[in-house]
Amino acid sequence: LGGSGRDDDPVLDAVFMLFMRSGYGGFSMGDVAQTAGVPERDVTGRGARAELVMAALERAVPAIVACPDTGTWRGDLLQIVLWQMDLLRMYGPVIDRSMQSAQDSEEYATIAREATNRRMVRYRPMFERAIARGEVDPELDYDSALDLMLGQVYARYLTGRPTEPEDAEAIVDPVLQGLTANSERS
Amino acid sequence: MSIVSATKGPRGRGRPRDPALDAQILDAACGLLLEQGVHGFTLLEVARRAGVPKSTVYRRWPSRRDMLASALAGLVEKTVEPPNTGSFRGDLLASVKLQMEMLSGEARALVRLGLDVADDDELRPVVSEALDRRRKNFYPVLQRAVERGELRPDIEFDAVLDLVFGAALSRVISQRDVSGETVAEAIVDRAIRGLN
Repeated sequence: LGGSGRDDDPVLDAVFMLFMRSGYGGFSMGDVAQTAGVPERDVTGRGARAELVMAALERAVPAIVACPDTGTWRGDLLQIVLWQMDLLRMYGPVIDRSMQSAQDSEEYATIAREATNRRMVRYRPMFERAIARGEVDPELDYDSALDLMLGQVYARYLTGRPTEPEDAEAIVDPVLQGLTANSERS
Repeated sequence: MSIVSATKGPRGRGRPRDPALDAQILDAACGLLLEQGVHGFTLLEVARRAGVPKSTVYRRWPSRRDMLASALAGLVEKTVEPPNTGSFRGDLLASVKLQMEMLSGEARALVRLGLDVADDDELRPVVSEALDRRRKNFYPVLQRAVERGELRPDIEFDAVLDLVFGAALSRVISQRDVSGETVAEAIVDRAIRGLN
């Protein structure tokens, strides 16, 4: 996972801590200032709640949005599955808090959707390269492909099935080949 | 409306219990779990919501973990019958739509619970077993597809279910739209055909 830099930033640390404790709407800018030990204007000068929370989340959760470039379609898919495993193992409670915040706040739901869209856009070159190499159907819908890949990691994780690096092939290969009896490919 | 339609009896001892009271307590426990998650779940609050003395709850569920396990089982018991449309694609489509529908309601709370207890060695298996039981209800759908020659026999059922249910999960977790036929069809058709 690529890191996004961990220089000292007491304001974003405070935002992250308060978000985890109380959810998106559960704290004030004054709470952030108090927790960070800085004047409130140092918080409000950094942006609105939405910007602060997204910045805090992106800082706390390493940049999982890097686009793999292993040279093969299968290799790239294995890479994003491995990243997704790391993400869940390390940040499951963050995702839980994010789901709750989205349930409680339409504003947060919107920024979470936008964050997902940005992640999808960053993966686009992976698809374009695979299509250019002739490995992938040019009609492939990127969203569905990523949902089928990443979703399996969520499903395994939540039902207690293994999500170790050696399980990545078992996740990627059935999706590559398709499920129907006549879809097996060489 | 009652959250728990059928109650698995808690491990009890002593005098015979009133099943209606068991259901009342379990309903309160399920409601609390859905609202507050695992961390806000206490037997004291369950008793308060059920309108019974604390000791009444403790007699039936001696520990928080027992109560939690029963509440989770109560949520899972609401699982809907898996589809039987006559075709693999039809069944998968109905299953994905069902999953998306459930994830808009109580199943969403179960998913959140699963994420929330990631670091809890005691509670995590309770949640994951509950989710796993819910999922295994769909094995007959896949068995029929293999018998009809529609599903590759070399793929594990769990892998197929991870695929179709996981895709729905992925959309819900990332706050994207899960309504409408098109999303479910895109997922199912791509799963059937493969990504190559």
